[in-house]
Amino acid sequence: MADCDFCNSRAVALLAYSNKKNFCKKHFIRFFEKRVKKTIREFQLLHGAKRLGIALSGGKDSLATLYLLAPLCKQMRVPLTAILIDEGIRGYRAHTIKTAKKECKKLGVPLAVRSFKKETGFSMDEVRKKSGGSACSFCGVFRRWILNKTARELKLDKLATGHNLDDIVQTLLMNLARNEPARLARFGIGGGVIEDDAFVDRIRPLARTPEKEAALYMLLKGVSIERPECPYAHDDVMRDLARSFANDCEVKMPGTKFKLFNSFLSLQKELNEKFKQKKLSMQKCSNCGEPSSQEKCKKCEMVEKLRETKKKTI
Amino acid sequence: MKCKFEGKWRDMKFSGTVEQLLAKLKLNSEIIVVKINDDIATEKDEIKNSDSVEVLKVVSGG
Repeated sequence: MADCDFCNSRAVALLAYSNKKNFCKKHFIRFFEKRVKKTIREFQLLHGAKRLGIALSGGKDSLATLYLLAPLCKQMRVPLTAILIDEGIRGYRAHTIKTAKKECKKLGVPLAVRSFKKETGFSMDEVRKKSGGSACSFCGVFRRWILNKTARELKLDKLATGHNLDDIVQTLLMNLARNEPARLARFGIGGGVIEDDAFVDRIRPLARTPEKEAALYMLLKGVSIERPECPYAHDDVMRDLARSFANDCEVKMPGTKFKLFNSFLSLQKELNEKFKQKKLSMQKCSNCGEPSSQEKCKKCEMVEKLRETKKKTI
Repeated sequence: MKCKFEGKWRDMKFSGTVEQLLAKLKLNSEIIVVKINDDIATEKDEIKNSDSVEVLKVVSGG
């Protein structure tokens, strides 16, 4: 068994990209939490936040974010509320909902629960059946719509998500592979996609945190990470490919994910200049009243499409 | 060696490092956490044939 490079206790983590590679439980937790706090400071993620929200799925990333933000918010006297969305996927979400409720109760964080079915009229299982295999795009749009609407209803200034280093690197690779660099110009660690009061700023405290380390952190905190995989996770073929590529690179060349992330940050200024968008005139969706760049928002467009599919099959 | 993966226990003959076990199972260490006799282990830790090993998959999303 390897010894911790800091204290000679038994190592539980080997971080190949790090100068000191072997970490015991105590030093890993310290390292992990210090890095997240540094990310929060670096990108000023909590700057100006008077009421903070967290998008909580009950999975390892959002739980790690909760565990880190709850004591910080208590210290800063900033109320924190968790928002959980039940997509309505049989055999998948129930387990993490149970975990989310338990952890929120333990940490004294109020939890608001919303469901796809109640908010859109369709569960994800129904969407998948009707959409014929492209569940992820519907899921993303619906989730963001519900999160933003709920965050505004709860009068939150900022909403933290559990997006980690791996998620960001995958998004970077996907947008490059699809020749959509303009999308990267809009992608941020903190702040909104579009500057508008109707959108609640989203922040990503785990931006510099590898996914595996978030899992390890939760295990060391005594929270199980065992859960079923989303049955529709492999609908997004491109993301699967990006994930495999990034993971293969990281094993062979430790530190690659961090380098990709840093490259993205250094290019972002140039991307912003090149793809400076004309200020979008936001309006209210003619159907639901939520912010939209078009007459009808994307969520309402998709719901209409699903309803048309329902009518055709009757 | 008793090995648990994807919820199922199975007997297998193996002794070597965690890294070598993952290579044998064709798993990338970036998506796996391994426990040896219920203790979290690193890739360089040794596994004896008498050990009980749990291979936990890091599930994306959430």
